[in-house]
Amino acid sequence: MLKFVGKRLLQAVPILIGISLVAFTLIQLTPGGPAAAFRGLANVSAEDLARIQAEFGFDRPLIIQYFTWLTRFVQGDWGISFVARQPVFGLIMERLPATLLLMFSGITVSLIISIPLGLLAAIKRDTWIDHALTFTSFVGLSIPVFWLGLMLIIVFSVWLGWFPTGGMGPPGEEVGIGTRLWYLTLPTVAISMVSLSFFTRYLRASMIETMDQDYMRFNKARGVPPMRRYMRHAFRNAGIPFVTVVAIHIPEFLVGALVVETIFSWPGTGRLFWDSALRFDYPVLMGVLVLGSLMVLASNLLADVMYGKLDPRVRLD
Amino acid sequence: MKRLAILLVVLTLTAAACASSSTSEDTNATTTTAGESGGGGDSTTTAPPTTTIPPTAEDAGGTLTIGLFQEPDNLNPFLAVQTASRIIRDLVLEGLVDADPDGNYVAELAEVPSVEAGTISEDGLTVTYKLAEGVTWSDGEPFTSRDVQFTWEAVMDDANAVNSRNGYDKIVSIETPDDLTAVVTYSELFAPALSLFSIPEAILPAHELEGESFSEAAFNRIPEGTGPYMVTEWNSGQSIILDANPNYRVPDRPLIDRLIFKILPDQNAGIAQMRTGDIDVFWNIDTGVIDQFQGMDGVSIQVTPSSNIEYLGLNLSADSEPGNPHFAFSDPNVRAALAMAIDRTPIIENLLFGLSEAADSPIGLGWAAPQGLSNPAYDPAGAMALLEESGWVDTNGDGIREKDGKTLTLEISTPAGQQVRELTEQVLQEQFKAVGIELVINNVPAATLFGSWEENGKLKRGDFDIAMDTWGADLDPDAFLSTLFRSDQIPQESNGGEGWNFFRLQSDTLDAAIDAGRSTLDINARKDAYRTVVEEVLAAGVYIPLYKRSKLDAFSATVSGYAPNPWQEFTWNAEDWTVDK
Repeated sequence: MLKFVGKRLLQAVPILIGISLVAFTLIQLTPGGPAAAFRGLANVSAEDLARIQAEFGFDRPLIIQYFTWLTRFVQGDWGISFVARQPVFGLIMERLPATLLLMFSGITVSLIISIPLGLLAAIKRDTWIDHALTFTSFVGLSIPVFWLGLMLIIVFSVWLGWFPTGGMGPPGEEVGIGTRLWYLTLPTVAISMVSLSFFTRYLRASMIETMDQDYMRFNKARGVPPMRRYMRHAFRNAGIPFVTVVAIHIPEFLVGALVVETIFSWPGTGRLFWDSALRFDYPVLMGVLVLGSLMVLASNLLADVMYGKLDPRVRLD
Repeated sequence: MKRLAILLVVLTLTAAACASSSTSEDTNATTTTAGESGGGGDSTTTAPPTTTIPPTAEDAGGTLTIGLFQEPDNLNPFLAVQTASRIIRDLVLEGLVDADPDGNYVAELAEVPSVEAGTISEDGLTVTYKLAEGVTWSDGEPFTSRDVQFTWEAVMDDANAVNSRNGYDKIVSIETPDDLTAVVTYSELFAPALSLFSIPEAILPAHELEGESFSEAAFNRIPEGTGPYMVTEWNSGQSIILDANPNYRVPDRPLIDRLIFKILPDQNAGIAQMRTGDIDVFWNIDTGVIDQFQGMDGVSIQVTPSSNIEYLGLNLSADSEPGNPHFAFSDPNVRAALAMAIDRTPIIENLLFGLSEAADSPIGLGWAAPQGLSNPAYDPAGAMALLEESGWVDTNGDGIREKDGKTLTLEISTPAGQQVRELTEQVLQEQFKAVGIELVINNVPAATLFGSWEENGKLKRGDFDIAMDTWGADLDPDAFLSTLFRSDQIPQESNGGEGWNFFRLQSDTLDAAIDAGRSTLDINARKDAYRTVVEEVLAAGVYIPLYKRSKLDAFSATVSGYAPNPWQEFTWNAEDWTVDK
């Protein structure tokens, strides 16, 4: 197992380098650039522009710029934000907890709701309950996150006044756990809707497949009580691919955070990424991209490891 | 997708409010607009929350929450480009002098130097600042002439990568004969000298920044200042919190104890939070969503004029070379006819909700704005007569004039996706059609219109007939007028595309007047020079001013004390504001 993890970690290094090279090139190819922000200012002369370019290193060839960035990055120096003029690492780290909280909350809620619903839909297959759940899931899968977020704000914040319109808590105050959950509610609903529907559908399919197996029929014939059959025999087996799917799905929450954070003024890395993209803040963009890639690779690794742990037939070497 | 999202929320909110709809217009998208330009003069409010009774000690205290849909980049006046930065740092940092609502220099950390007082030398090369006594930084350290000297040194230090050294690079030395006197000596005359160290910049604390590079400095986020407030918390992406500076030199100010600037993702969040009362003030409302705010109880819209002018720019050349005449605009009659064919009233009344005024000059406000100008009267008949006189006649009866086989078809370009501008174009289309001119709308992304020479920007390359744009003069109009109208600022092959004289206007009289304006510090001589500049530009007919852009901010009725100042951001007098507790 350790050997497997070690091997996968080693494989991650060239992947990360490849991703960072592609990201670096794509970012540089975008028209505009950090200097564009200064160009419009009447008091910034051509000499000023050249001086700023040189200071940021834009006067050097792209490949040199990339390797300078890479060398510093692996040494823990993520560069200085062009915009905030603060170290990038610190800027990202102060935003990361908010994103992790939102992701964690979204995943938890998705699981808590989708598991019972998925089981229910599978057990009550082809009844009106199953059809209703199927319909709801497809609605949930089809709703664009940004639209859902805006509707939640309009209905529950502006009209009903039950929840805050955005943010993580009232600014300038110590935020207790109750207040935090109150602020977390609407963003969590928005970020988990798609995954929740997807998980429900997946678990239903997985359960039905398992329940159609011969050993399940044999179980039934043997007179094993229904709940015991469903939970102990079917769910245990159906749960293995489900866990993998959930782990692989974690990066979706990272992507969802990008939209949800922007709509709900949630101060996470998603919004930092969006703001930095609008302002051509290359060092911050690169930092968030690499961090995001790391999270994707970590989720995939987690999926593989859990699969190996849960399924005794799989041996990881 | 973002645009779609904006569109969607505007539509939804509009439906929700059962109000008539119009989509949002991004007032920040005019990339050529100088970040910190303002305006001066009269101002109106739709429902004035300002009180005439001076606030008393009983009104003091409390917390005010202000919504900003832009997070400041940083709070260092020499590094920041965002308007939101100035909104906050002006409460913390101060300049040597300041600008009052009429666009006059007033004392801040120093008296305003003048030739009469002997603090500006006759040749204009030496400016002496007498600093205010008893000023301390918020940590209690005294403010001295060394801080002035240090600010200049820091700007000129290569390690600091400041945005601009314009003017500071003409300073030879700053002497500090005593703690309260700073003598600035220039190598050559720099007309906007008084704006240095002041607008929109500020004095930096030597004791905090000495020996430290700007990059990474903690000062960029939590600056040490002499102003009424100090930054106590910056929660990235959430809020910036300012508390009253206990060492502020003005007694009993500021009145409000704490200002919380909430960072919001966009205008829609501002609408929602203003409705729920989560914020008391919202900065910079798009004209397109103004009706959303007008319907709210206990909320009033503050209208502050600005020096930003919405105008039509006419291209005198067929391409980027000033020598190749434009098929229609090389004839002054056609330019004049265009100006006479425009009726500004429907644009201002219907599209701008009557919240803006007609403009008659590229310099709309301030000491340099010439008084008593007027636009050519709206006169379609006169316009048609001028066109006939020049030989533009509709020979084939299709309603469009022709001459020498060419039809009078003109193209108008503005950054795409801004509804108020797109509607303005349609109004102009109708008005021009009435006099036999066909106007074709060809809007492009802002980056395409304002792109650099290398990026083949349409303005730089002369690839347009008429451009609709917003630009405005700073308190000192020199930089604005020079880059827009001086002959050597015509972007073309031979100068590598330098400058923004995309009208391709060449006039010796104009160049001489611009130079006269920058060759003296005598304000009256400069006023005369700028009147000549404006008259020349208007006479040339290449710049047709449409309206003055207004800045619109929403205030809850619980807030009192706001006064509009076109030259500053709306927080300029926040030390005098009060809030109901």
